[in-house]
Amino acid sequence: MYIAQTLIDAISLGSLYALVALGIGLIFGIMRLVNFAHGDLITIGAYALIVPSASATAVLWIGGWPWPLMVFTIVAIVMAAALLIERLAFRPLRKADPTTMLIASFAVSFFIQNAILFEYGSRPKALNIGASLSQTITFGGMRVLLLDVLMVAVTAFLLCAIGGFLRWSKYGIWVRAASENFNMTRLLGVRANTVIGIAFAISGVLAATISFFVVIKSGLLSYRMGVPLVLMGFVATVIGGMGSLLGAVIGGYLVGAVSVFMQALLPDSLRGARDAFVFLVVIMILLLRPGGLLQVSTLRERV
Amino acid sequence: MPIRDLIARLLPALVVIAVLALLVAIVDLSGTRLVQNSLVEMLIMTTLVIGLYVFVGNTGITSFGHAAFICIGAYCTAWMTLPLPLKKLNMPGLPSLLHNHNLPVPVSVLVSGGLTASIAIIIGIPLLRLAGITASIATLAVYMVTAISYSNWDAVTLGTSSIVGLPGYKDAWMILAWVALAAIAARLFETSNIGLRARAARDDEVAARSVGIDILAGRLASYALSAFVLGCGGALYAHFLGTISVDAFSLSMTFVTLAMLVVGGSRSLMGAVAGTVLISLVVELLRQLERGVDVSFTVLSLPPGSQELGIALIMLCMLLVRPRGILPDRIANQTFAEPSRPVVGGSANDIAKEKTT
Repeated sequence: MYIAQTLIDAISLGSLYALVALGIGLIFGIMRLVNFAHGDLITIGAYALIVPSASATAVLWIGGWPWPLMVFTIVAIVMAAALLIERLAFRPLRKADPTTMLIASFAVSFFIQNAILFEYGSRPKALNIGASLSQTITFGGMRVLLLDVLMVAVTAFLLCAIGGFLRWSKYGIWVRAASENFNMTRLLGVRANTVIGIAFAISGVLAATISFFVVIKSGLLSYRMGVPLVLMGFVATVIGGMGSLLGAVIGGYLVGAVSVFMQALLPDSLRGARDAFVFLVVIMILLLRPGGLLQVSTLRERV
Repeated sequence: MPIRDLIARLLPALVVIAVLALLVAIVDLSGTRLVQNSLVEMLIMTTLVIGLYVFVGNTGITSFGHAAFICIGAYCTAWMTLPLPLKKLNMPGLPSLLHNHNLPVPVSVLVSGGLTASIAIIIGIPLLRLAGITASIATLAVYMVTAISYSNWDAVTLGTSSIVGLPGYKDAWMILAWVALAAIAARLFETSNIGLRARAARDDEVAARSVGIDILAGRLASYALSAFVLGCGGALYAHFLGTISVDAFSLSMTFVTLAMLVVGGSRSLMGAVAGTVLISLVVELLRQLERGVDVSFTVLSLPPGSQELGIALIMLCMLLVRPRGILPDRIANQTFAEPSRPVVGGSANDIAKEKTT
């Protein structure tokens, strides 16, 4: 029973990381941009739920709307933010080398965090939405959180939807072609701005989804809430193999599983340092397979 | 002409030292205590950025983990200089030798650098085989492991609480001497055989390998020297603040030091220092504005947080407008020193790239 419980925790946390990693991996595949600001899109989605003010208590704003409208608005806001970041910060740098873009995304992230700090204050705020999802249901003798079930289901749905979109739709094929060879794709008449726009829009949808789950699960808002998520997502993308979308998803589930099993297996005295062990595992994987689990051949330098 | 040769090699370091010395002299003669404090902080940041530059500039790998080295240096000096009764009471995990003896601050700073460099060598040997973004992620992972371990290693680091009571060491001229040492070491390294090889590998890894350059050795040497300087800088920072906690060495510190390096231009020593001075000035200006400025009958002040917003904006604009740093390329590449031997800084590869773009 205990093992099954741990397994469910692993899948639910893994789903979260997989969604983050997919958002990062999608953009990396096309632009070679490691988007550090992805985590702050999640933060934007979460803060959009409340009325902007620096007071300690959070007053629901969009979060108080009927849920279909709320979901739609938040997704639209985060998507718009993602496209805006692309237009203002990343488009002018498109020809720059990956390191410069990485540093630029770091700067964007820092900017968003402090803009939120500016507007909403630095204190974490408690926020209670989706209380009905926090009940447990009994499922084959196990008690599971309804939220966990929903999270796994939504992740599965999004992965299938995005997978299908990339596999069969015209735009999806453009995106895949662009991450295979961006210049060749452009030569064949695909607009760079369209493809990159699509990638950022999808990453915005993914980020907005994560905002909901994180807010409902933790009930807390803080201006740096996206940072630990993006770090884990980042790590998951690298482990999975930068540029491989399937790799990013697998990496996400792997990091989730390692975190949960470390939590279960480590002795009490070391549990506080759990993440240190997770990152040690990450370093080990990188050393054994520097290109990640699923290596992308187009990324290796040819001479 | 070994002396002339040496001066030519050290010229950028000497320029840097002269400019900073001028600043210190001006502030020493006219400045208030507040300005002096800011100046010392800037000098310490300069040391840190030089340390960061030694790795990033010579290997081309962006490090996201250098705050770990700063943290290790700062804690190390705390173990060796904190008043003995305090140490016995708060850090039961330290060996008894440290419980009964302390070192003078300058020696302790050097030892901190040494410890940091040794750790860098140990983790560098497996890690620096990685390249590009994978290596950057690995440095980030090293940072996470260090920060989490230090905030849980209660017996010697007091966990997440602050260590207070470090002896002060913040005379501007003394700190300037440390900056000078760092700058000279950085220049001697990058003009040495192994430094030049590391730079060759930075510009074109495959070509460097094909002429028999040991890439790992160059990277490892840069990493070790970088960690040494960062460890010393971290120790100086600890003595400047008088109190340390793991939170002080967060990703924000990584970001600010990286911003200083990138704004100045990560490929030359003078660029690194120019970026540090510029960003420090801006931060100081914004800090004054946050505190409020008396404009005849009313006090104007910026809300808290404008400092960070300002830095992020400046950094973004710099990346967009001058991705190679504020210094003109001619100065950054130090081609004015010895036109006949363009081995230092710039490379054929850079020139080729400029022609094609």
